[in-house]
Formats: sequence, C-alpha cells, structure tokens
Amino acid sequence: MKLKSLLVTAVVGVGILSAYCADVSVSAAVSLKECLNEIIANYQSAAPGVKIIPNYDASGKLQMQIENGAPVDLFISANQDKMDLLENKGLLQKGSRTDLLENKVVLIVPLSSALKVTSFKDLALAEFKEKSIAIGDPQVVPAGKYALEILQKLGIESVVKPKLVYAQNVRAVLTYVAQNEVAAGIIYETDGVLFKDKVKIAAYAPAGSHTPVVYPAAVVTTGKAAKDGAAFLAYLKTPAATEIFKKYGFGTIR
Amino acid sequence: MGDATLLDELTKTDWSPLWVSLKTGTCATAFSFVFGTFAAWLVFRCSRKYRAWWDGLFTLPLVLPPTVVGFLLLVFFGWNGPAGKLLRHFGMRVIFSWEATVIAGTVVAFPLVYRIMRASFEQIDPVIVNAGRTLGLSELTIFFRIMLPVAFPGCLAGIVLGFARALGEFGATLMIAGNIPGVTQTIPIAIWSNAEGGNMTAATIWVSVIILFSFLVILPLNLWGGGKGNA
Repeated sequence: MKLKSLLVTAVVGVGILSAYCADVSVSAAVSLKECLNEIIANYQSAAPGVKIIPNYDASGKLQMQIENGAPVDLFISANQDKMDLLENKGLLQKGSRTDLLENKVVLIVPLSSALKVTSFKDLALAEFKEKSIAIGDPQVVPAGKYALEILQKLGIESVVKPKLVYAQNVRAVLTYVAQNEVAAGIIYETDGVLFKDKVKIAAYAPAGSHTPVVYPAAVVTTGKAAKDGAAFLAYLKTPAATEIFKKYGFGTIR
Repeated sequence: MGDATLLDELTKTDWSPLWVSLKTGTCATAFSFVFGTFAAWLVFRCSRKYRAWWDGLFTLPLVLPPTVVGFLLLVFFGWNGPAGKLLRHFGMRVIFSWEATVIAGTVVAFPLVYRIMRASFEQIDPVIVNAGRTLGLSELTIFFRIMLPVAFPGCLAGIVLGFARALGEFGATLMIAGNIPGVTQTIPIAIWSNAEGGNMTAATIWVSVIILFSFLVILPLNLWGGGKGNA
C-alpha cells in the first residue's frame, strides 16, 4: 500500500516536473549553428526550466524529417521553398510564420589556392577546366539552389555544371574547399567569415543574380512544446538576439 | 504529380547514373579480377608461415566498413596524401573524378575475387598440376593452361560477385568520388541523393533498375556456370 502511494507520487512528480522542464525542439539551417547556440545559451540562462534542443542540418533534410513526423517545435529554413512545403502540408502553426534573417552568397577558394578568382564568372574560365566546384545538392540544400540560380543568371551554367560536386550541406562544401578536394565552393557569407582561417572569400554574388536569401521561421505542430517554441521565436526577434545575429553577419528583418 | 504517367517519369529521368555505373562496374570488375586472381595465386603458392598475414591483408577491405575504406583512400589519394602528391606533380587528380569510382569499386570487389579464386585453386587436384610440372611446363604456363581453366566456375563466381559488389558500392565511392551527376553519380549514389532530396519517384526508378539489372546479370552467368557441372 505504501509502495503504491510512493509510486503514484513519483509519477505525478515527474509529470509536474516535465511540464516545467519542457524540451523545445528547434530545427535550424546549419549555417545558424554557432550563432543560435550562443543565443540559446543566453536564453536558457535567462529562462531556466526550458531546455532548447537544436538540430542543425540542410533545410531540405530538416523539412523531410518534419514531414516524416519528427517532433519539432520551431523550424528555421534557409529559403522559403522548404517552409512552403511544410505549410502546404498543414504542419505549421497558423500565423506563426515570419521572416527572420538575411544572408549573402559568396564564392570561396582554398587558402592556398593559386587561381585568379575575383568574380563568379571566373568559374567558366579555362583555369577551372579540369577542376571541381562544390555546391550544396540543389534538391536538399537551399544554398545549392541559390548557386544554380547565380550560374544561370550569369549564363555560365552549361559550362560549369559538369564540374559541380554536390555536397549534403554548406558545411560539407566548406570542408571540401578547406581540404583542397575542390577548387572552389559556393556558400553563405556568414560561413565564409566564420571559417576564414580555413577558406578565403573570393567573390560575392552579383546583385539580383539569385532569389534574396531570406530565413523564414515558424512554429511546427509535430512537436509537443509549441507554446515554448513560439516564446523562443518571439525571443529571436528581441534586440538581445538580433545583436548576436548581426555579430555573426546575418541581416535581421524587422 | 498524380496525373504524371510512368512513361512521363521515365522520359524525364536523367539516365546518366546507368552509364556511369556500367562503365565503373565493368572496369572495377576487370581490375579486381586481375588483381584478385594474382593475389590468390601468390597466397596459394606462399609458404605456410606467411600465408595467414597475406590472407588477412587481402581480406581486409571485405571486413572493414566501407566508410573506413573510403577514409583511407581519401587520405591516400587526397591533397596531402602520398599518392595525391605524386599525381599532383603530373597535373593529375583522383579525388572527385570518375577514375575514383573505379578505384573504390576495385578495392571493395578485390577481396571477394581473391577469396573465391583462392578457394578454387585449393580445390584443384594437385595431381594435375604436378603432372604439368613433370612435363616441364613453367609455372606461368601451368597457371594459364591448367589452373585457370580448371577453376573456371570459380572465375565466373568471382566475376559475378565482384561485379555485384562494385555496382553496389556506395560509402567509399561517395567519399573519394563525390556526387557529380553525369560523372561520378553511380546508381546507388543517385538513389541516396534522390531519396535525400525527397524525389522518391526517381529513387524508386533506380532501385527497380538495379534489382532488375542484378537479376539479368547473375541469372545467365549462374545458369551457364551451372551447365559446366561445377557451379
């Protein structure tokens, strides 16, 4: 009899505790990794009892995970397409979708690269003839899609396409370039700046050559902590958070 | 998507992974057969003392996870690797080239061919081989005119399994050859890439192709080999 009441108390206690210590699952584009980790650390020290569990990967991968039922409370994508796919499936909380950040697309080369590269158009030149160029897999990685748009707009897609190596996310592109396995790569400015000890930024994408890089964020209904997810999303728009985003080179949208 | 017929989907598909896989599979099978048979012959004739060590070395790629094989190849042929540096000297590069798919396929198919051929050689009646020696034939002649013909069913099994393994290689290929549509994107890589990208239709098409192809290759060879009595 005593054991039974002890068990009941334990179960109720755990139930109450878990209601307070809600785990908020956040899926975010991999470029946000270091930046968001810093923001999460600040948020958790200010609001104890809430634990944010981030999951970083290519936006397409994250979107597929959510579509397949992964319990996620907040999703931050590197382009609108992946967010649209979830919205069309009714997986987003109505009215929670908002544009959060902006970024720029850059061309990177290995630090030891001897090639003369000053613009994206140089990718079509003879010096790249036998070389490989890494971009994100356009089906999965928004940065890869932006990269193809740029190549199309500059009219060099057919020349450059046979040289393209598809990577699974922008950090993989970065690694390929840093290890000299490819001659150049196309990633976001924020990644290039963060890892300037491994790669160098050779050029910026010309204005208007691609869809503007906008990171939308929305509360997702597959998770169990939508309210806490919405609270964290609201925090991401406060000056405390936008200051850190700006520090890492992201543009913030009011 | 609901209105698209199968024919529409098939005509839309980029068929390059099929040609990449065929080219890679054929070359890798040929190389692994030559190297595997030669290695089997060496170990077969090796003194008992060292046999276990050579056998272990040649069997290693079979038991190692493909990503380990891929990693080692990457280190060896990469920018700072011994083979990579040497090739750079001559302006050549292996990483992220079609040739890398052949290297990866050969390395993983080699131990299969090696083990099959070694088992085949050990099953040869020593009387036949010794008869050849008493007739004054060189070891090389004995190898080509006596051992290989007698081990013919083993050769077929080695080729079939080697081809299947090379065709299905994914991990090591992805690491050193990368995912380059039209150049290094083999069928397994195409399946994975499309599945990751949410394009289940393309992934299903390739899965079906590989299943069909595997049957079409393995069945005739087995039937033919079986007809010779000793499959």
